[in-house]
Amino acid sequence: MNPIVSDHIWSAASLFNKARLYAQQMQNYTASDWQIYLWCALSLEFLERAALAHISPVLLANCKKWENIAYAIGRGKLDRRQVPTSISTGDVIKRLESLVPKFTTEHSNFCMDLAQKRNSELHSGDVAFTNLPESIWLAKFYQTCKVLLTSMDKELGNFFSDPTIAIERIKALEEQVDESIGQQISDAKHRWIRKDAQTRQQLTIKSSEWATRQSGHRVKCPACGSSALIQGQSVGEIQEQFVDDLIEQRQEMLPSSFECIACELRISGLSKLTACGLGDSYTAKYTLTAIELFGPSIIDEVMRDEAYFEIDYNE
Amino acid sequence: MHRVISAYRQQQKVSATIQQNGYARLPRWRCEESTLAIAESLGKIFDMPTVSPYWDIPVVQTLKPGREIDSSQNRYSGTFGLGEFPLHTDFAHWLHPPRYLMLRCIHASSTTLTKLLPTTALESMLPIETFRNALVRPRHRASDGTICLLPITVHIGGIIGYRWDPLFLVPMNTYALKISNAMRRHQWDHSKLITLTLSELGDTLLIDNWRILHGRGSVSNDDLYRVIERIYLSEIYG
Repeated sequence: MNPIVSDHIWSAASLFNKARLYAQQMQNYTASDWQIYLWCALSLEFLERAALAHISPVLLANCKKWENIAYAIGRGKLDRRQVPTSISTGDVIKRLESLVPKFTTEHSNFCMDLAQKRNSELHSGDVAFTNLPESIWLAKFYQTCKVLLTSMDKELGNFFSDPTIAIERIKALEEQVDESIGQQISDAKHRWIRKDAQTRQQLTIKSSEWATRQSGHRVKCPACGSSALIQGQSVGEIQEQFVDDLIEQRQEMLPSSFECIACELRISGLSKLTACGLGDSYTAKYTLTAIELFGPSIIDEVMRDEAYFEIDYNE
Repeated sequence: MHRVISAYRQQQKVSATIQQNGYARLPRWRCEESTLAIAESLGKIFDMPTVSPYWDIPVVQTLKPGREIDSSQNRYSGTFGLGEFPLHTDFAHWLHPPRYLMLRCIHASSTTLTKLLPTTALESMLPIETFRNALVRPRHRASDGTICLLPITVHIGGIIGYRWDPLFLVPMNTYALKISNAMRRHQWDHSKLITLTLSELGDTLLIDNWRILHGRGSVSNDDLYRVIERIYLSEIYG
């Protein structure tokens, strides 16, 4: 195959074009038609693959056979008997979650759910795409598309013929999230105020100790002001540096859940955390000794290698 | 020295003209030189035999009018015979169509027209969104048996162009169908469609294949001897 003459079936562009073609089919239906969701599901699957191929088409290759990797880099020949196999949609989603920082667990869960529905629709008697809550469902679809498109340096307008609906749906979803999280915090505040002063003080001390002992990112609770914890998922590569004979590892984290044991406020999902000001990424820092990082054998190796670093000296 | 300076100035002029208009017509140009030598002096040759080893396309191709019955179906003559060729991009069905083509008159014909349409004119026919959203596919599978979708707009190296071919491309969505129908029906007036002839030996036409659609007019029986040489370039110096 010549890259000037024809495109690769696993290239970001060919997958993106196919995703666009399927997304355009959605225009033939209204949000109350089940068919719109089937086209959404199919389109999103190709967009997921396009986003992964944008990083490298090799990520799409099924590694069980090296021929698939060769094919992904444009070196393998495809004859009639050999069909190159790519990874499953589930694996595509998992890889995106690890490699695309803004593609969070929420997006991943949505994509998985959609893929399962697509399977049910296409491989069983289940009429999987009926009775879906259209406003939330479509908005999440558009929001996920936006994240994947951004990772490919594209915008909604590059993908949808008319991005207005997508933009409005995303905005409505964000407003809905703002409203629901506002209500959740307000409820937690009321619960907190109803407790007597002594209990509140005990709980504040307890939560402060708990937040110190547990691993996670310490923040102030937006409802009661006590120390609370954010858990997150790692984003990007670990940065390492030596500080005073120790190895300091830094890892950027994206918040995924929040917990305050004082007022019992629990929030999960980056979109909700962002809506209440807890969505900023943070850096997790770990300090390790060389033995902790490389294991006890590192000492022997260092002793053995040390001779090579001594200056030869004819004394 | 004078010849070198003159050749350099000529080169600059051709480059500026093609940048401005999308094409450059050079009447009776360097008649004593070969098509290949002229193309090599103008820019970087698009190496057809390397790019498409399966199809045995030479670097310089000789174009002669052919009747439908005498031509294979993979050529325009096989479908349109001596009739008018529709406006098209050369190798529009390739992922990256060659950027420039040069046509050079070897055996003149005074009545066969060459038509040029700047792709900017397309935007007066249909909204630009139609072109942005249009998806097509090559009519045949690639040598590896696959077939991928292509956008009508060509984005390569920061340059935006268009591709169109009513024969070798198959519309895959409503936008592409709209373009196909509009291109079939649209009557281009003379303010947009440029017509010219390669009527003398050495007449040379350089076309930006991404910015100009081109097509041959019908060939009369008197013009069956018309011979044009064609060569593709990936870059014009200047």
